[in-house]
Amino acid sequence: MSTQQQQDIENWLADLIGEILEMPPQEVDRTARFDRYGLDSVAAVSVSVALGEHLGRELDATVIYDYPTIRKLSQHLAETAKAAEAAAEAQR
Amino acid sequence: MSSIAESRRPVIARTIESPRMRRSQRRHAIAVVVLSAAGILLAGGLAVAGHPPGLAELAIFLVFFTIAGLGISVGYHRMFTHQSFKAKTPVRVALAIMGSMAMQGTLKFWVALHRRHHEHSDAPGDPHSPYVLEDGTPLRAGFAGFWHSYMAWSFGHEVPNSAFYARDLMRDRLISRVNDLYFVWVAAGLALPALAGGWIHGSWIGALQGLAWGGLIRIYAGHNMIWSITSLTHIFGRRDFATRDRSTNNGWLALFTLGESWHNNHHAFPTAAVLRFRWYQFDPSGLFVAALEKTGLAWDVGRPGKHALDAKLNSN
Repeated sequence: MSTQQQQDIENWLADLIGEILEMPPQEVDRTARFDRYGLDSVAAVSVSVALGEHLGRELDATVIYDYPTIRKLSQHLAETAKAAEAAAEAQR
Repeated sequence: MSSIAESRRPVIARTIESPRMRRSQRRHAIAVVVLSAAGILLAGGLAVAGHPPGLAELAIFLVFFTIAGLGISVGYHRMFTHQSFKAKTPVRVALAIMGSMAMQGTLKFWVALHRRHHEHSDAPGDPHSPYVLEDGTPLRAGFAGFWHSYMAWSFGHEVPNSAFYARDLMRDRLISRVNDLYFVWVAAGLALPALAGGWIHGSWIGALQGLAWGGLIRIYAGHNMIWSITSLTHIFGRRDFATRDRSTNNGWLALFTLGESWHNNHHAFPTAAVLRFRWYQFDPSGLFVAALEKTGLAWDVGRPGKHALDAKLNSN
């Protein structure tokens, strides 16, 4: 079940990876593992750093390994968005 | 067409702030030092125990030094980083494997770091300049600058983003696979000389000799081959060409560095696959590329023409 939030994150990731690989975002396979795109560990971390900045959340360094496709990562982040917001609120 | 508004387009950074990646890089640099020391201790111990190195050890050392050295110089550096020539796929794969055996990092990491070096040579952002730290802090002339650009830099440089600097390699599936098997190639670079030594001598001692000389000490020597370039050929020597940096040519290092010490030639013409611009400039790596070309395994070999060379000559 895909929420709008998950869709947004997926699109953003497809855009970023499309830019890195110099291919149109529509052609980026959202169910393929990141290492199948040729992203080495540094590139994968750079994606998660950029994504964290975009979402305004601190992402665990391991999140990209635990959820190693665009779809899984977006799903996980959308599902945990509420919890992350609550944690951020509590810290303010 | 992007589905994201221009103002929110993802920006791909040149370096990434990742303590994890930094730690990984530092661990690797430490591992190189530890393995080098282990090699020297092993060879020394064997010598003291009545097994000094002989012709077999020299031969094994030279063979593997050359294999890994060409892998770095011709492969990692001239072909993959600078795209100074094209080659058939088996050659590309072989060079990537040979370069990996040198244990100087994965192909993508090496390419990213070196492209970053060219982007910022001897200026803030250069991971290994004798004149300035990567963050822009100037270095005092003399030993401090030499030491940083020689070896110290490898422990604390920024993490270059391969997604920025090495995108062409990302798209190459086969090379990406070779890249990811880095530690397999490093291990092979230790196992093969051990096997050679064991076979030549017919003994376990022989295998240890092979491991020490063709594996561990060879890795250390190969690092010195590159470290002498990052340091000495940015400090001493002739500047035949006007470049933005302080790169120099050093003939006396040409054999040891397989031709990479014509470093001013290189910075002036990074896409030159052959660095012999004057008749006396001995460039073994360039000869190897020329040999590949003669056999049809390589083509589009970068050789700057006389006009291009003359235009960049240093007037001083």
